Amino acid sequence: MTPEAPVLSVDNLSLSFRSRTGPVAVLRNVSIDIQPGEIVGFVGESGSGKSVTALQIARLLPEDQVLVDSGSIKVAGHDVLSANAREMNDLRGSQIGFIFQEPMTALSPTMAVGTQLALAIRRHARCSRKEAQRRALETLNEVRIESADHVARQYPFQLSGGMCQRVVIALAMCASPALLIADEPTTALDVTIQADILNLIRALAADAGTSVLFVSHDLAVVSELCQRVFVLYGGEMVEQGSSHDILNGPRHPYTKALLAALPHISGTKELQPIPGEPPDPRQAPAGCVFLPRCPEAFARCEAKPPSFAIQSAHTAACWLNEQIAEGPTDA
Amino acid sequence: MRMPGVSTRVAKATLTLRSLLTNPVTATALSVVILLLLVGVLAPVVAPYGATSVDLANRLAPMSGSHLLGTDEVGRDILSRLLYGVRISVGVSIATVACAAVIGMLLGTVAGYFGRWADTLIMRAIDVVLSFPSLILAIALAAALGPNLLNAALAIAIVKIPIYARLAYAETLSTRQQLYVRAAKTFGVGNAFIVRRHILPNIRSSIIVQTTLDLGDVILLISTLGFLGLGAQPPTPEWGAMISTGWHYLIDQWWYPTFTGAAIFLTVMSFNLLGDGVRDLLDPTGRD
Amino acid sequence: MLKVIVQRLALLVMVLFFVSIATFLMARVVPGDPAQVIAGPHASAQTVQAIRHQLGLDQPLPVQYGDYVVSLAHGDLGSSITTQHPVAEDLKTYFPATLELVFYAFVVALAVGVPLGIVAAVKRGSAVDYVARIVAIGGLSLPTFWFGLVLILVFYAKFGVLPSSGRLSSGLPPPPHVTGIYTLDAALTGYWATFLDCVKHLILPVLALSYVQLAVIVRQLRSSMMEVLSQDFVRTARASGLSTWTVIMRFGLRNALVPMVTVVAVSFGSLLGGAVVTETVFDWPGMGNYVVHSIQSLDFPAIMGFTIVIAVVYVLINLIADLINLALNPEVRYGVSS
Repeated sequence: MTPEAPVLSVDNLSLSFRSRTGPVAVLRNVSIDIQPGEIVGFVGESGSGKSVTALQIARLLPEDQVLVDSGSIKVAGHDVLSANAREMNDLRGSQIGFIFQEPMTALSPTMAVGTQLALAIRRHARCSRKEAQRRALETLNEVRIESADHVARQYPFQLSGGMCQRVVIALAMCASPALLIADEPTTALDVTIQADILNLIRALAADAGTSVLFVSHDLAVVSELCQRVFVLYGGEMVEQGSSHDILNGPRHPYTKALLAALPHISGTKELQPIPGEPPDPRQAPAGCVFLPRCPEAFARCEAKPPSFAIQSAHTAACWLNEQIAEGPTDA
Repeated sequence: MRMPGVSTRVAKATLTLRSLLTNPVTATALSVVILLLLVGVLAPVVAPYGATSVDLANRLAPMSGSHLLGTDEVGRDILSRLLYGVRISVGVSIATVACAAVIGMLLGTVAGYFGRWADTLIMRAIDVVLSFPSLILAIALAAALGPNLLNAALAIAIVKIPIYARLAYAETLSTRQQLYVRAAKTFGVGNAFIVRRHILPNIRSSIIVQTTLDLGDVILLISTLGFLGLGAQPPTPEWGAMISTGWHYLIDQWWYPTFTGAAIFLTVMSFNLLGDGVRDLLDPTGRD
Repeated sequence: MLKVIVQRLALLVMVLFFVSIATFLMARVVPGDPAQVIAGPHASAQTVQAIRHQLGLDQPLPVQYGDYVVSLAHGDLGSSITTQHPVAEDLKTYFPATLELVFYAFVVALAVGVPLGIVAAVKRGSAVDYVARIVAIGGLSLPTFWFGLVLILVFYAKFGVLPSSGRLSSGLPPPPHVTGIYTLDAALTGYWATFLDCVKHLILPVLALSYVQLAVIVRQLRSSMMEVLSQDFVRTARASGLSTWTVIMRFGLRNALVPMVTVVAVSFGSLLGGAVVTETVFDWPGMGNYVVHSIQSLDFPAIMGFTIVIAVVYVLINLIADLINLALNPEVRYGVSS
């Protein structure tokens, strides 16, 4: 692995789900890359396909229902899509850590959380059971759980949502993966806990040098935490760039609408939701995927726009950028 | 006021019937059940011989053109007896399940509604009944009452009552708590009305599923009691009773007990498959 | 935990109360005067009266019932009309044979049913899943006695490989008595030829008896496992990189066990009931066979004695199941929070 090799490289991924009426495309030509040590945000509405992408990176989707139409996924140099079951199991935990949205249902109700953690540790570290238990307590401390000894013996139903999520984070990080995928980790938690969890993720990633793929529908949180942002709409990548660029100079009408829809703490502005509905994945649009809801649509939009490079690291798939851009790029 | 209620009920029924036909397995089961019901009704027309036409010259005859499934130990045509037997098995089963369901729901509702000693008395009695394995209790009751078909049906009904009682009881308890029922009561609405309007509709799906499944199970119980000599007595062409004499001829006239038992198996299976299909429709809890 | 035991035992007491009253009344309701029957048609009125007094039949009903309960408590289940032995003794004689049959049937039901249910759930839509579903549906619809007859027809009549009745081939003496369970006794005392013969005689009845419970187990486990495997925590376990075996066993099966235990305990009822018909079909000298003969001769003490024993066994089995559930389910042990 050269020093420049990305931790995550999703290249032109297209996915479909099997359905009674035939395959339904849920992702079209999605590309993401994450460099070592980066925190990257992945933003979109529910149904945009962002969770699907995240789950597919760890191959956690039900295999008999998912069809990979094209593309590749590489994590730390390992090819994910062509890995067999055993190789994939090796990758999970040791290279890919996953944090899920619902902490309360994410842990086995009949196993003490410490035991579950120790199991994961033993899986990747080849140590004795006692040693694994000791390390489990250490890991619980690392996710800022006090009285780790007591908590380790609790069952999930005895813990709060925030505590459960910390345990899930501990599980994800215990084998020091190269990539941590956080799929809406704070959406199901109280607002007061959210900040704690986000800070925890940021601190852990920094300490361990882990890259993070942070999936969320909340652009505010994403821009605060992440260095780069990818914006997904209707299964397609519509914009990507540094959070600074996205926040201050969005180049896609959808991104602009997302920013405008953020409620301001000062409460002076009215909430501006985006009019219309998210697209039905069963009807793949020929033109721009945002066309039905776009306030700036024009005739050109009937054809699918390629990704235009605004600057070197900032691209947007919108015809409005055709004149400004330096020319269309492939990614 | 009445019309909307009627049309929704009809709409639901059509939905159920049509959607029953979409699943091939359920559709087959339904056709078999309908066929059985027809055979039961039309037995005198369809059966080549009478159910009790003795013909001693022709005892234990093998399968042939004139007797498709052979004859039994007194020369009666087995096929005809099987066909007439549908009336007994399916007919008695329907009657038994209906009684058990009605009485069970009544008991459960009374227990849940009036509480206190009614609750304790009825529900403890239910617990006692459930502490016995069904067949064993049915055997004990049928033996105590005397071996005939009616007593067997009664014994089986008693065994089947608890589950309906518990269903109605649970629903009654939870409904009783609900605000709108309490509100209705303050308006002086009668108890019976509350039961009909609020409690029964909620358990309707569970009852439908349970009765369909019980139909099959009761046929099994009837035939088992018949086999043990506790149900229908000869010469009644009840399938289990037929096997209670037929199985002695297992080696040489294998078709006699084998086809009779196959009739039981296929009938019960059809009801069970139908019940499964009904359950999948009315109460889909992610079964496939 | 104590609460559960107390509840079950209270239930047992109620059951015994109910059955004892039923038995008592039934014996008194049977037409005919037992004293007259014993005395014979030519006995004088005084003799009949004397016998009646001897039997305690001239006491008021509640007193008679009290006596009855006392003797029940001492394990006296009355005397069988047909065998003239105490029912309790008869049942003790026939109990080991039934125990042997039921035990092996249970083991087979678990040993075949559990793996089949798990594989069917894990490999949905596969051939195994198909087989499992057919087995499950068949089990609920199959009359045990007919299944036994068909097995005899095929394996005894057609192919002649297995015996059709009894515990041992005629002429072969049973092994030295240790428990009354022939296979166990034969193994303990080293009579291996006898052991093999016992096993041969067990195969068909055990197969016939185990099938219903097997089907129930497959059905329940398949459904439970499918539900559990679709839960979030299984996904978390997979995301940790745990092996498929660990995920299926420690996250899947472990969580599917709780509803399973209750279902298995209830299905024991079908095992006990099925034993009655299986013993009849295979002429197996157990309690089931005993009660069927008692039915034919309307031997009420025997029938009731049998029912009481079965009820006690069944309640105890459900009690054990409750205790196992308690051990398996941490939520019940530690109390659900909020």
